[in-house]
Amino acid sequence: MSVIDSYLDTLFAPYPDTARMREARIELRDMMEDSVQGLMGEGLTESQALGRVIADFGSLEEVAGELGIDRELGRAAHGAHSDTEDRPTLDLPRAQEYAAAARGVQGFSAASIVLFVLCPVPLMLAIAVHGTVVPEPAPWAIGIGLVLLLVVVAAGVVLMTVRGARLAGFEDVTERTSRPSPEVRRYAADLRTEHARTRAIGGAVATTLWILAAAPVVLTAFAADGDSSSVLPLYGVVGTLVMVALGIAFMFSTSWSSDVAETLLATETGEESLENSSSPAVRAIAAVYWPVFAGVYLGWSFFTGDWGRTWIIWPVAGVLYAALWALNSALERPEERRPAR
Amino acid sequence: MIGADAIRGHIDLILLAILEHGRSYAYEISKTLERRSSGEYTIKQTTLYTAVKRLQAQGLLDAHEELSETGKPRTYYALTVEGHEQLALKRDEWRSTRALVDQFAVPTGDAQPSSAAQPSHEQDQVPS
Repeated sequence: MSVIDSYLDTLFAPYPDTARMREARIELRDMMEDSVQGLMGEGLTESQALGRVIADFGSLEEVAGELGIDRELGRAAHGAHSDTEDRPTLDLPRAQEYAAAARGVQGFSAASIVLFVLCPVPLMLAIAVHGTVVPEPAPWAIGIGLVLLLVVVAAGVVLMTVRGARLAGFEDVTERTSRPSPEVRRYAADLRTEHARTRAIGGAVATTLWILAAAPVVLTAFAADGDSSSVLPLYGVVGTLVMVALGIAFMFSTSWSSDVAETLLATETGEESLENSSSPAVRAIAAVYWPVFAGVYLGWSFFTGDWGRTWIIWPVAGVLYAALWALNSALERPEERRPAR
Repeated sequence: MIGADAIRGHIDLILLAILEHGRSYAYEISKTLERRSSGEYTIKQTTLYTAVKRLQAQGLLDAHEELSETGKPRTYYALTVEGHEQLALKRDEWRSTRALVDQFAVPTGDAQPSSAAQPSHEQDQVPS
């Protein structure tokens, strides 16, 4: 692919792939090639000619405005909403400011969700370290464990709050009330392309960890061999939670650019997440989901003392979580896929 | 160097004038512009493209494709009859506009149009 092609690819990336835009791309490409040939005929080297032609290219926004593609852009970004013309425009400096802020707080959201997932770990470790769950776990272990659980949850909430406060000035961006300018669309597309590789690796590592996360629970349950007094499954559950948390950390630390790009383009998040669902019910369920299952697991185990069997709750929780994910997608799709007029 | 904003409103007139004596294509038009402005103005490619598309849509320009010497496709633009008429109208409009602006902008005594400020269509020599 020639330099001109890749240059035009980058410029056209944020625009919808319409017949008119394709035609403009072909015609502009021919004009550029002709200019390069002309400049080379005047004695410039190929790279000098290319540099000159690219420097004198101008702004695609101008072309889009003339061809009425601005309006198509608006429709592409907001589905069938007709209010696009009334929205304020989101300009490039503001978008870059938001990207910097979002990058800065990305660690906060990752850390808080990791903490929520890991909150039962101190309790389980305290019980496991005590060595036995028969006839019942030591009261000191439960006491210390529950206090630490609350401390970890509180830390997670604090991080969430700090994150919210840091992004508080960006409602115009995060609430998607403004319309991205073509420069912002290009910037967002570049941002996504630039970090696509890291994000793919992060996603792959996270998915691998999540698939393998069932292993510690299953293996320790088999190792306990039906012995209901064994604390081995507790270590297994800790292992599983740590793997899930690591996966989340990987996913979040590598997906910030994509999240920022989706927010800037005022579209639904590409990385679907139940915590970001547009349905308040799903968001509420997602927030308390894992702590509630941890609570049920511990309650059931303490009550029956049957630690060798209660681990079954984790695979069940996993399947239900997948079901919740599917339900969330079903709730959001009709809105997203409404065809553009 | 003359800014793009100062020229923006007059691009149509400039293009029509450049094409008055014969057809031309994008690169040649931009070269003509640059040469006749003595390097004071370089047209951006998107500005030129947008303007020819606009003039074409108004029926003032005809476009047709040919192959260049290097075998690449090249679009030639030529004035239509309406294009010539529009050029004449725009020239008159420009003369009146310039005379009016000069009344205010040029200090008294200098308000006579100088030869440098004359529209240069009289010396138009469009390379073919």
